[in-house]
Amino acid sequence: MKRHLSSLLFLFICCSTLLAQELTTQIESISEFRSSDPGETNLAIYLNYEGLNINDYTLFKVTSSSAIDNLGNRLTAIGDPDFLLPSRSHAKLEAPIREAASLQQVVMRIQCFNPSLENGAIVRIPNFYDKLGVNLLAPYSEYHDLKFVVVDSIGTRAEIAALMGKDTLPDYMGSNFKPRPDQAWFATYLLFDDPEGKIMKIDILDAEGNAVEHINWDRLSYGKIVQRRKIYFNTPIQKDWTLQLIIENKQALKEYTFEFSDLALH
Amino acid sequence: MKITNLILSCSLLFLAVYLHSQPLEAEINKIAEYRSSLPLSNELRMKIFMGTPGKYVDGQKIKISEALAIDENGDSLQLLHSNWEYYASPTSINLKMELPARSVKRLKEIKGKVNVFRPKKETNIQIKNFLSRPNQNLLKPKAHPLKVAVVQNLEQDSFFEAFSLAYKKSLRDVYPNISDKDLEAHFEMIEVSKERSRSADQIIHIIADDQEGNMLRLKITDSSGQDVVVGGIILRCPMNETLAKLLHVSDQDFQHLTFQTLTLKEKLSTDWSLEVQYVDPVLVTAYDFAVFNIILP
Repeated sequence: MKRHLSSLLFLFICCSTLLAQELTTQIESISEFRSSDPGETNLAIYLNYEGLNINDYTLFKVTSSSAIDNLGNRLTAIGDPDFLLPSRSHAKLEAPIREAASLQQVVMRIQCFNPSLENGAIVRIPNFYDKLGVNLLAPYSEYHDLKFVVVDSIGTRAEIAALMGKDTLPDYMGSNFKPRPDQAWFATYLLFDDPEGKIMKIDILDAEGNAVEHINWDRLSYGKIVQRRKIYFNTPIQKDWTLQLIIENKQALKEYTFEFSDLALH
Repeated sequence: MKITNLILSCSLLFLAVYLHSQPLEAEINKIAEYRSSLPLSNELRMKIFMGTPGKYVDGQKIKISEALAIDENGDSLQLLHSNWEYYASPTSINLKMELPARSVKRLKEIKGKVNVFRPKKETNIQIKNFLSRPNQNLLKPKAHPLKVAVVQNLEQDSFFEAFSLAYKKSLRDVYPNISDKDLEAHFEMIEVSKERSRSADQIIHIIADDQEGNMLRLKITDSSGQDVVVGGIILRCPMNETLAKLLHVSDQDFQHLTFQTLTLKEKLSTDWSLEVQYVDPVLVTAYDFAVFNIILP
């Protein structure tokens, strides 16, 4: 009897865990923008999500794969959706005509990026400031196509190229750059080679695991081949700080399809 | 001869009266509709292009004070909001109005009044040693229609809680069916102001009784005349007894609350001055305007 109870309890826990992993979604709001300027008019459908273990880094990309208004007109998706925070993720469609009073049916494809330490999309590198000048992602075989190097000052273009394992650097990297000795802020440099834009967020955590407040991210160059950024802190950089990278990977990505009907237009 | 002169004078007078009574011609530069399932996010925004007669004065401002639109079904739409804006005639003026029904394609007309403020030096007031008179109106009530006070000894937690309640009530009065969730989406600035007030930065709180947004500029200057304000956040809501008590001012003095949280470059000093510029109603000229046949996008 006791054994049966334990099995039932185990089954219940498994079911609860599985249910907790299921994503449910509801329409949060529908916003329509109609403008006399050409090309600006659109309809945005915002969603809210429940059921997944959504954390501070969870992002959603929403695409409308099919939408029909109550008069039978098809509405096409517009723009190129990106991964956004849950509260900001939305599907963007062309605006329905004025005579339409509702959307009869909308089918949405929702891609969820839900990073965790377990699925490897959250990478934490403790004491990173002790590892200046080396590729911090080298130990992570799944990220062999990425390079991430921290330096305390930027030297010559040749030095940067060498750090990134390249012969030359593109022109947009600019000229040599070193922090002024009299500057009031404490700064460090991040160099990363991320051809497909997989690095979605960079954080520096203090010894307690809280994000260290920084003044700004100074994006010194654009493009996805090699980027360099300078990060300014209010306080001197501590050796026990941790570099946290949120990196897109297949294990953290899931795709869902949801269908909604009879959505009133305002 | 006398009769000719009389006829000529009468004609000129008639022409002047006729011209004055004619509304200013205006045209719509841009029109945009914001329609949403969230009740607070619905409005019709327009840029109206118009010029007004009269001599140009440096620093003059313009504001649409009244507007009423009539749509193709005969339904009327009220003015929601308009600010004082820089004005070099002719100019585009922004205004927000109620939305027509979704099926409406055309507005028959918008008629209203536009105010032009032509400032004089006296509307720039400098108040020296203003920190020595906290929690009281710094302007002379008989001379100035505006009230301004510096707030000291603010119990921040109680104040922001009371402010949130008062703000929520003011929104509920206008939108009785709005959900708590929809309301909370509009509380971001209160949170920002609260965080700023608690920060380690040098902060000063200044309040005004200025429901119409007639205070055009508020500056704090050091002894050398340099502006010491780095940035600020403005919150507005109707004044009530609780807020007045927490702000240590009498609610009879302040009917409406404009609460500014200003971040300063350096530590407060008693030799600083407060400079206020406001719209004096005496220096405002009102003109009628009208726009017809507005096609909605």
